[in-house]
Amino acid sequence: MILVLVAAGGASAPSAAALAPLEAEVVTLEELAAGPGTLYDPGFERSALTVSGRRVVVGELTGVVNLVPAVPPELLTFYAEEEREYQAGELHAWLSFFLSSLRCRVVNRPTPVSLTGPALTPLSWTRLARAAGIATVPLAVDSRDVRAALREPEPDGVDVVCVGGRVVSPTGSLSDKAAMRLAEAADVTYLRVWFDRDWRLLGASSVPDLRPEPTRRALADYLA
Amino acid sequence: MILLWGLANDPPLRAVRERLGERGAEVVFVDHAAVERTHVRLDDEAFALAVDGAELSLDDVTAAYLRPYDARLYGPGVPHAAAGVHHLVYEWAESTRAIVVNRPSAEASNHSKLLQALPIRESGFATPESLVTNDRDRILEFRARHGSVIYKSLSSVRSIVAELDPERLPAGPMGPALIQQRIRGTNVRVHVVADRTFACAVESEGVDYRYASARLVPVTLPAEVAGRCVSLARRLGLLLAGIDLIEDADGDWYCLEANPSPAFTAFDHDGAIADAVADLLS
Repeated sequence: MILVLVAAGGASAPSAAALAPLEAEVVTLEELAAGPGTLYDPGFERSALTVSGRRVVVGELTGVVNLVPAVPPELLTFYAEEEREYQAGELHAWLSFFLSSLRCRVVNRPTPVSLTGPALTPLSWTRLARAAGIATVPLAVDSRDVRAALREPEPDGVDVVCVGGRVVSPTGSLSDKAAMRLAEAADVTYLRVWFDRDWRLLGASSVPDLRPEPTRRALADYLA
Repeated sequence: MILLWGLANDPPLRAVRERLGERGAEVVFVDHAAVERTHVRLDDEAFALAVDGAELSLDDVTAAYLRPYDARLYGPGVPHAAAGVHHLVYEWAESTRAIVVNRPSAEASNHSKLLQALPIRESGFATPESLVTNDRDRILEFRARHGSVIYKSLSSVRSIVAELDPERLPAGPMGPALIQQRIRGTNVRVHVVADRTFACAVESEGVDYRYASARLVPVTLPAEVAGRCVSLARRLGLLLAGIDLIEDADGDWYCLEANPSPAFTAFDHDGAIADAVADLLS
């Protein structure tokens, strides 16, 4: 079973049918928190969780795609308001252990700072890219107005998606190699990278975007 | 230049600052209480921090000891002002070549106690059997097997460790809880500073000695155990760590967790830990 982990259900969450050709079950934070589940340590292989009302032992999972970089307290409406911040930390810790301990492929593996890989902001991506010899836009960040640096960049030229060591829908431009080099430097399976019209890096995201069909296909191939 | 960032009255920061002052080290103290008046900027020319207009180039910093206060506790308005400063100082701390006690990514290494248990075992320590569950039956089954179990937070949020009383388990739905086999023995708190260790036995009747009366007795660790502590701190990327151990009646050493931002002064009877941190920064 392939699992796609989303923050919340509702209209914005992908349905299992909408994920084709990725054959996956969708599970929300609420389902994970409420459905009976137990993680063991040591003996993680005995651990089980509830998916679509069914008990699933972790060994049945063949792959996980995680769309939740951090657990937002405001989405935990199934807890009393005064408990949400604490429970968000607990759920984050639960997911971090769970996603790190699975033997199957996980896109992306968590790091200490994010559940979807390195929690790199556009600023961090810029610095990492420079260290990897990739051209970037000039840096200019001020703590009094850091929001601009924290926001995902708007696509202004081209965006390149890498999955499992290859470029999805290659552009044939310099940006393909640069995106691959950045994914390697960040040690992530999935990476979406934005470049401007001069092939300078604008930013990147390690949170999978499953809306484009070629990305879902690439993930299906990677997790097969 | 050594950067100290935190509150002036924070005991560990104050102790290290005093030690550095005695050595005549070049120190810049940035008061976290002034976070609203602190300004950080990064561009292609410089990474700079200023308080009330007095600017410091972060490129000149050779070592840093960071103990930021939780800005959310300052009250309305300040958290927003502090967010940008925290973001950029952490960005610098993560990427600088300076010695940083500790880098933010290493600080985050205890955000999940069970995840931290993996490097703990790799370092040669035993860990208590644990489960995280919202399933009442699994908890009762686990307790029946171990006789006595404790519960505490799974995340790095501080919680009071307590023995589980099954009568107090909620009858209705509950969130996932961390339940652990209770290990009985001698509590030992070890502080690691780079490759040096400082150990204190904690004599207490409480399940959680932090919230019970306790007597601290400096002890010398067996060399092999001290080596495991240093190895664990290295695996976690921590230059300073507070490691909680229990030696049981069979002489087995259990490690409960490693704290990446230890308030070490309560254990530092002779100032040796503060000295070691000052040595490291110098």
